[in-house]
Amino acid sequence: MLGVWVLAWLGLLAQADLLHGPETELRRWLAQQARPARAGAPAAAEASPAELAERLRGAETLYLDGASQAAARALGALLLDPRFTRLAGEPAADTARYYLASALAREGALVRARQLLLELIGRSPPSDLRGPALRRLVELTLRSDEFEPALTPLASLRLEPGETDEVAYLQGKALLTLGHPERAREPLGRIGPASRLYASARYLLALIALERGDREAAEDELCRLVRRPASGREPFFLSDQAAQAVAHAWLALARLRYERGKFMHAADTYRRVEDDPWVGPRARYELAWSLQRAGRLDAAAAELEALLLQPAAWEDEPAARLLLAYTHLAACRWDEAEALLRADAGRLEALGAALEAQAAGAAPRALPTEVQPWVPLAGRERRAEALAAGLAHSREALARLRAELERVRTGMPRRTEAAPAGELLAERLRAELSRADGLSQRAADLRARFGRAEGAAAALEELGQVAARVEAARERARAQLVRLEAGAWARAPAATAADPARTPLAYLDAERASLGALALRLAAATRSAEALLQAARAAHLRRASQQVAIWARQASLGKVDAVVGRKQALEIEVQNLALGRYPLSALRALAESGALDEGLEYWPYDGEGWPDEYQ
Amino acid sequence: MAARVWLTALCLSGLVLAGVALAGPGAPAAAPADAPAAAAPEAGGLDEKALAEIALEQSRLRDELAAAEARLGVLAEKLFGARLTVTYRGELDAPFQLARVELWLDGALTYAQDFQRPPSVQLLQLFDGHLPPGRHLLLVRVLARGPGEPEGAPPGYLAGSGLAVHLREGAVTRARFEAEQDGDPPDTDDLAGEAPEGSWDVDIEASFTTGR
Repeated sequence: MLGVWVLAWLGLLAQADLLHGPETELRRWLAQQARPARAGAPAAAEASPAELAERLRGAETLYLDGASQAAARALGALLLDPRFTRLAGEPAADTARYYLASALAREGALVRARQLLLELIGRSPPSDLRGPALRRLVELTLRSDEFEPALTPLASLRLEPGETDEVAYLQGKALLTLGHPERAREPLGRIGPASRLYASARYLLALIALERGDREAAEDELCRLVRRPASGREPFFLSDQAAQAVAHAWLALARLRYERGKFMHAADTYRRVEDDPWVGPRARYELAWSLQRAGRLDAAAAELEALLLQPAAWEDEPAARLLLAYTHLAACRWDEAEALLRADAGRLEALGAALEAQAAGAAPRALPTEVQPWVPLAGRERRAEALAAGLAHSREALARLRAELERVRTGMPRRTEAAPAGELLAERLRAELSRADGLSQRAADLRARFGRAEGAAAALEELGQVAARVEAARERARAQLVRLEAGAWARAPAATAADPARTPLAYLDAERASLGALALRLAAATRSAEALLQAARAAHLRRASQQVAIWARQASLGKVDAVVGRKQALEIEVQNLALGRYPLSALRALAESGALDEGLEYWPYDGEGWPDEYQ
Repeated sequence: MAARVWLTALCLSGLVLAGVALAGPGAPAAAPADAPAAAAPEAGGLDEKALAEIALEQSRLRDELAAAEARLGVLAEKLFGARLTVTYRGELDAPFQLARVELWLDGALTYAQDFQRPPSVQLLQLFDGHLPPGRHLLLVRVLARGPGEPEGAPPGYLAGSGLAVHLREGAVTRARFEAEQDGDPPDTDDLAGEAPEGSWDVDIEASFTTGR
């Protein structure tokens, strides 16, 4: 019985919200404005198709130039305005809906964007924009990974031939996301070569084959993607996305060949994409690996040296430096190898120590600048960062809307108070937080630089204490800022309205209440996102720490190899001398002085090894 | 012949040692980097469900904010006859590449666009809307990348310009920012040298006109 009462009460509340929500209040006010002020007076003029077209052009320019927020505002306002109601069936109004959905999608307002697109797709008779709307819906769904709200309504529609490919791709991706790769093969396999999603689908099919261990099938799929038709015409949709899929296919093919031990074949395949903007650096690094494994040590070293000339740090940089050092080792170039490994071991050990100390801290935050490009954020870590950034953007938008609401209510161009209570303090706290971030970063960088240097223990300890104090102060400032912002959100807007007759007070009150409720939800979401962000940063830091420790260990081992190698070389020289053979270093000098017998046979080492001698 | 024997022995010892190393720096795996099955064990502590829930809530919040934005937009149109448009014209030539343009209106970020490649048009419309008449502050920030700067890292070159506009009731105010650039950033050879140096000189002229 109590449950029924609660439900009834909730129903009443919802109805009240619907009856007095901001949109209802605004529509009421707009309708009131549209009515003639007195009997016989002219009603507000309705918009003409020319005006609609002009407004649409302006919004379209904004959207195409990247001003999605301004475009969404302009188009949303246009579709709300009763002056344009009569033109709702015009093709231009559909275009407005399409661009509004696109702008909303860019702004992250996915639910409304999806709703608008589905409305355009499901319209009967069909809208001229059905095709573009479907493609936009597919893009939006792939970006958000929310397949169900798009696929369910699409399932009840009769699809045209070109449209089935789009929906099949969505189905395949949804099944893959849900962990059913084998079931995903059927929809992905249905996609025709003229579809813009064909290349991506074939690539996914290759990955599925690879996952079930069928390397032959995977290679066939990848070859089908990269091959050029021998003769005749073959339809293929050329786009950035397709080109990217083809580049990845070459990379995957090269990796398959590498794993089969066909190193030179793999190297040739890597060369296909060594200048590619998406996979180029990775392909060149792996090309060097293939050359190294094929015994082409000089070629591998040259490739790596060229790659390491890049001025900016990049993901595979430490691994490439290690590979170069090990390539020198393999070619018996002990001095070059040792110089590289000695420098790397010192640097990496110091970085590892700094990361370890940070990971052990209570609130691990900043990754040393040097390490950031080497260990980029991965899947969920990146999503947590993006969520936190998106919520910060929402908080900015909310603050802006509240300020605007206040301005509208007072009718003043700017707020009456020079600096409302708390705003100055909030500004200072934000500046202090920014300084604290900078100090934390500098402390992390300094720890990384000094690392385990001799005599730096005391300085490092002091640095650790400073970093801890900065962190504690930052946390206090952040907590105060959150309280201050919550207080600012709860503040009532100024009570004076410039023209109460003209100003829609009921709407403004409803909007204010709505934004207040939104602020509370935003605060709750921010708290959850902040907790996830901390977890993501801690995971990232741990991963970076482990990775740098592995590189440091490899550099140390390599250093030992270089020393042992040189020692072995010396031992061999000594043995040769004891047997009366000349050491290599003495050969040239002896030959020049004419001390060597002309009949002496000598094959100089050509740098590529003699595989037939040691296999 | 004797020399060949000991040289072979010498290199063999190196290759044996390097054989240990080959397992070290990490051989390439067959699966491409973005294979869907490649789970991220490094982020095991992150709750997938919680991430999805917050993402959904964020999307709903953005929906409601966009709806409020549209409502305030139509209201501002009815209440204020003052309209503002803001455009940006940039003449950023090689070797610099435009990476981002921002517009801040009265202290709030109103336009932000990242560019992966140079924009196809030189003229960008940054804002077009109705505002309360009176004084408003505009700030445009232009960020660019020099040669060899990585795509993922923040752009290395920044220039900005501010302008106060005074809107009139019933009038359209057109604010324009025009950037001209000159400079000589360090290239790869410079950076490999002992004393790299570079410059980026940007002139941003800001103006506004008011008309009907």
